Amino acid sequence: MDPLYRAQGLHYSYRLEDQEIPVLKGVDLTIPPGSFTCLVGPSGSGKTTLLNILGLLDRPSRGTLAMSGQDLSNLSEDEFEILRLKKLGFIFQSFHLIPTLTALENTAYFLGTLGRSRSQALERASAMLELVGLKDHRHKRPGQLSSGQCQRVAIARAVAKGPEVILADEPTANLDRTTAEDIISVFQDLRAKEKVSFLFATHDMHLVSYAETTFKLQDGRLEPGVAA
Amino acid sequence: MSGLFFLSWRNLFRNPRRTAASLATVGLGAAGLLIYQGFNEGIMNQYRENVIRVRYGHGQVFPKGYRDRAHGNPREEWIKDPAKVEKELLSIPGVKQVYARSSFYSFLTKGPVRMAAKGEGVEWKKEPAFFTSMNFEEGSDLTGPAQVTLGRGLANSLGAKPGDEIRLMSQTVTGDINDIGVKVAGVFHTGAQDFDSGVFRVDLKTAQELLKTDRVELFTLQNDSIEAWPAVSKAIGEKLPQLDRVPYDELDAVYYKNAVNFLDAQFAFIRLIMLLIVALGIFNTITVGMLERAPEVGALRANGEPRRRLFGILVRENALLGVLGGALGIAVAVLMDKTILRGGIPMPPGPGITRHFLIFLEIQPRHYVQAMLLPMLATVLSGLWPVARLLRSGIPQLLRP
Ligand SMILES: Nc1ncnc2c1ncn2[C@@H]1O[C@H](COP(=O)(O)OP(=O)(O)O)[C@@H](O)[C@H]1O
Ligand SMILES: [Mg+2]
Repeated sequence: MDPLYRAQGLHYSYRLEDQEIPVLKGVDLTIPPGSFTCLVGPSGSGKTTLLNILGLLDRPSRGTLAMSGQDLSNLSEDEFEILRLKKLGFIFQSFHLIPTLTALENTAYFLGTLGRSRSQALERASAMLELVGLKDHRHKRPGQLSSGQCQRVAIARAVAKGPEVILADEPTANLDRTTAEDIISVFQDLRAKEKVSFLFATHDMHLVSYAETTFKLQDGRLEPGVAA
Repeated sequence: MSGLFFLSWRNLFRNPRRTAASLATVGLGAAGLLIYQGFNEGIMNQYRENVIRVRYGHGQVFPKGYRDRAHGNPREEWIKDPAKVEKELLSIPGVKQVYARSSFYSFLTKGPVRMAAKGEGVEWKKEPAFFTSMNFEEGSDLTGPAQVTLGRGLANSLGAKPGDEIRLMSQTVTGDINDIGVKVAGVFHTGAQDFDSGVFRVDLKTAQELLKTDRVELFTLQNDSIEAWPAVSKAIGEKLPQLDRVPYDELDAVYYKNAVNFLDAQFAFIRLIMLLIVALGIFNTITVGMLERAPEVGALRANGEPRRRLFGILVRENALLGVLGGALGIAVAVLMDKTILRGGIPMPPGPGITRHFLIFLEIQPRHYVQAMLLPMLATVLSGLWPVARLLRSGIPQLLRP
């Protein structure tokens, strides 16, 4: 079976005026399907940068990346869009829900994009909200929900698409300790029920402790297997 | 509600105060446009009324080909047996009244002053019922056969006032010279400058005696409404093929059509200015509202929301804002029309007109459509730049806090 991701020699530099700031300097990694993986490393080490590349939001300056055996180097922006819609789900530190929609409508959002009927979409969204424990809050708007509840909606929204992998940049950074633990157990639950991989960029050591695989970014390269 | 419109609709409530401010901007623009357009239409209406009620009625009928050719002796072409023709015209549905008229050139002599002017023989007993725009500055309209009324300018040139005796001298249909004495009944002004300075009116019968004819030059028609013309014209064509039918706006092409074209061109320009003002006025608000959603849009795009679909949603949002603002503008304009503008807007004389007007707004259904579409265009246009930024920026850039 092809790995979920296989990357070789990924390089990435930011350009600030005339200056090149190299952030990734030859990242190699292989992530199997169905895994629970964390990218760790000090602030500024390039976790977000690498996650953006693996999430098809950005392209490496150099190196090759394949997803489920498919080489991504020659795909167009539109093809990236389709892959992101069908295979990836994104979660963010600040949730980024649509404030004018209810929890249920937020969760159903991409099902609309995918062309599901309204009733189908709402049905699946309801089921997802139940899975993340928000059944009774589905008609509330993000403004009426706590941060932990918002993050659950964001998770439900990403998972509802039925992606192969959920990518999350610091998903617990805006949450207090107990809420973060709740969210982690939601991830655990989903992993069992939805057969989806998780890939986190985080410095939350509690979250890291649940990971099967941890990659540490150090000086632009990965040190595999280090649970820092 | 379809999915995308649902999203747009909800977005109006994201920041109600900002939405209200935008709606106010757009609404004022739309109301301004509508009031201006209604005003314009009101002016055109006044022009039209003036043209119809002073001179031409809803249209006139002439002997066939009469207006197209120069005639050695035009009076030989005039309408024979006018009483019979009148009866037939009156039997046509949509025709309310007809007024026989004959025009001729004549010398007017008062004491030592002699002038040439155009005379109109009119049915003075009938005409005042419809031709209400004749204003008498001095004296009155014709009250008997041996009388004349003079346009203001003509009266001034002759130094004539009501009660004065004037001799009319003209060529008869047979080429002889004939003259009769008439008494000045009144001095009129109609608002139409050329008319007021060179025309006098006498009783039709008196004119026929002067010219020694029992024919008439034309009939002026008073129809049930302006809109009745095409049907009336068609019926006359079938029933009285010896007559040409000419509507008022053709009879007064210079005066009326030019005025209409002038106002139309002016309006097209003002409309463009309004569009720009609304677009500029709302640009900042729309841009701020759009760009503050960068992280949210970034999250949608990260999850594979196609840019094309997002474009549709965002443009719909702005369009909706424009349409609602337009609806608000319509409400404001209608309210103003029904309240503070109800009494009309006093206006100085327009081009070619010598009297003051009261203009009433004439807001037409097609104006409402325009008052919705134009603001929509303005909001969509002013939203294009921020929308393009949201869709063209890299996703990491949108997501960066
Ligand atoms: N848009 C950018 N332009 C220039 N430098 C950037 C940009 N984004 C990130 N960087 C720099 O790249 C490095 C890695 O950033 P990032 O991937 O966000 O690290 P992490 O997520 O591990 O904190 C940091 O030094 C950061 O300052
Ligand atoms: Mg980061």
